Amino acid sequence: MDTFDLTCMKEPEAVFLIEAYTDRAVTYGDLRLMVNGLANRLHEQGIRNGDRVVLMFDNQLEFIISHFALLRLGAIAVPMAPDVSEEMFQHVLQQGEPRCLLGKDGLKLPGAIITDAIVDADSQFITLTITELQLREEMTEETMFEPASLDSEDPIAILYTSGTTGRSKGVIMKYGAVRADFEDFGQDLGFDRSTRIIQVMPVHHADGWCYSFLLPFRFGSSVLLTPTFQASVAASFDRLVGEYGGNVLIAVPSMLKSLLAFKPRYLGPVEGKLRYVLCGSAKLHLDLVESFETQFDTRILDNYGSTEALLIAYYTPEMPYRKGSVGMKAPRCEIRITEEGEIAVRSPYLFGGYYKLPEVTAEVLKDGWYYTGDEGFLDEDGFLHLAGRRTQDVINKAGKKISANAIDEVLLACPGVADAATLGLSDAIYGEEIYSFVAASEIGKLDEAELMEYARKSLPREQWPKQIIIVDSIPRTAIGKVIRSALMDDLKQPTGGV
Amino acid sequence: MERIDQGVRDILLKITGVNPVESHSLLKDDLGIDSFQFVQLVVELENTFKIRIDDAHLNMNRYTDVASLSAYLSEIAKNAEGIA
Repeated sequence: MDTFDLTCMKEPEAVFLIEAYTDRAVTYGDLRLMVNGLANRLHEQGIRNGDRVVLMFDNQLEFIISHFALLRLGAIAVPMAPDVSEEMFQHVLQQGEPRCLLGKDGLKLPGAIITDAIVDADSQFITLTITELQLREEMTEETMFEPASLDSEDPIAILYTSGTTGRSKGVIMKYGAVRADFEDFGQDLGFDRSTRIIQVMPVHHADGWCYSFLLPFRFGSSVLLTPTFQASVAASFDRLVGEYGGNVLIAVPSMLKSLLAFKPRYLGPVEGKLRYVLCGSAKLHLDLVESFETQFDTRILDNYGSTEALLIAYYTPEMPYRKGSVGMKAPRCEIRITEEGEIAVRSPYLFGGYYKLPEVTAEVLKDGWYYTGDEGFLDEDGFLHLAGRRTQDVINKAGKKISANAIDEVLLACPGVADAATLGLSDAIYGEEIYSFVAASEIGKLDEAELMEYARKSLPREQWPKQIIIVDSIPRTAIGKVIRSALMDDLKQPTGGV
Repeated sequence: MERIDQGVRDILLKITGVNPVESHSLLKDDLGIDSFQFVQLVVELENTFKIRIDDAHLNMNRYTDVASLSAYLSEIAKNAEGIA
């Protein structure tokens, strides 16, 4: 028996996972048997240590079992959304060179799998549909092979970022880094067997990935997995904390806003049911914090981190709130502020680089320090304060990173547009919203409504500007940098269609 | 039905900023409604029309376009009047 078996056997009757609404559930004992059974099947199919395996599931138990099975084999998970775009799918297949794809029942692949480009002539690319029925039929005590003994440097997953600059990058998650981060964070947060995480984030995203899988497992906690956050989840939140006993919520600020909006609908009590809410990924406004904490009688614990660095700073339940800070520096994190004001981090939690992109990795990972791209400062007590971003390119809309430059490029391709500058401005719902400023090449030729229609046709939905403002010219410094403050004045007094 | 359809379009215009909102506008593809805006939409619709959308109908994917949402709301409004 190894650590996985022993952890599961400590309290085999304890619940590890519940799927809200479907009521499917897995105990720690079942988890062990299902994982070992699937690991045997994958081993028979030839999946071995170091192989990349794409996981395409919604928030569902098959994802969790599959990921644990890959850990047993020492294989590397590459989680992707089932509704991923064909372009992204092909990019990951070509760059990640996976051996196998495990998908949900009824999965419709977004494009063809060109196996020749992916695997060598001797091996064959495998696609398998994973269902609970099969998992239960294959349940077994023993693996037919020696389970992988993972070293700290071994990658366990490659998480593809949303790709704010250029193509999406695969962040290599190292076993040792992930384990160290979860160990420290979970202990500081007081995770134990009574902790039940309400997990509404997508499992293929770093937040959802962390909180549905190894973090709760390490502490004998349980996960209440819901479909990715949407109105129906927000509307039945009273059931999640009442009937299902969820007591810790993982959220981004816009979700809290939705829960507040739906609170009058709740039939059951929600006050005092949450021990705390772990909230990160986007700017948290103080009025939202106060309103949510009062109405739900709970505490919101802000945090700051990234897929590359995991948690850099966070609050614990015992830590008093400090105005303007995202929390105290994680104990094993060293933080250095560069001369330009950028936050650099050195810690045992850092990623293993971007997959097959050594040059891009070298731009942000230097001598063991990760350069976050964010600006900020540490106060005298070790609380971290964010001051903005070093690059104005990234807009953080509800935790999604969007490239302002990519939007500008599209706007510049529109006939009649001479210059464009897109900014992320503070927004009560999303943290930041997208505003695009456009200057015409010939006065009188541009119309805001037409430009908006053009943007909507040319850009993915999440990149649509909230507003396009036509200005006489984009104010820039001598070196061409956009002067934000001058554009903000234009937003207050838009000129309208000229 | 027409009153509700106009009301729905007014609310969608306010939330999305897309102008014009037509009955055949697709919620996701034309108006760019996301899950957070859908929550906002539900709250506004319930307050404006004094109705309650039941939890089973809170899945955005049930409504392809504005007309399908208006049709559902008209049905609720009619039933509510019937009960009254």
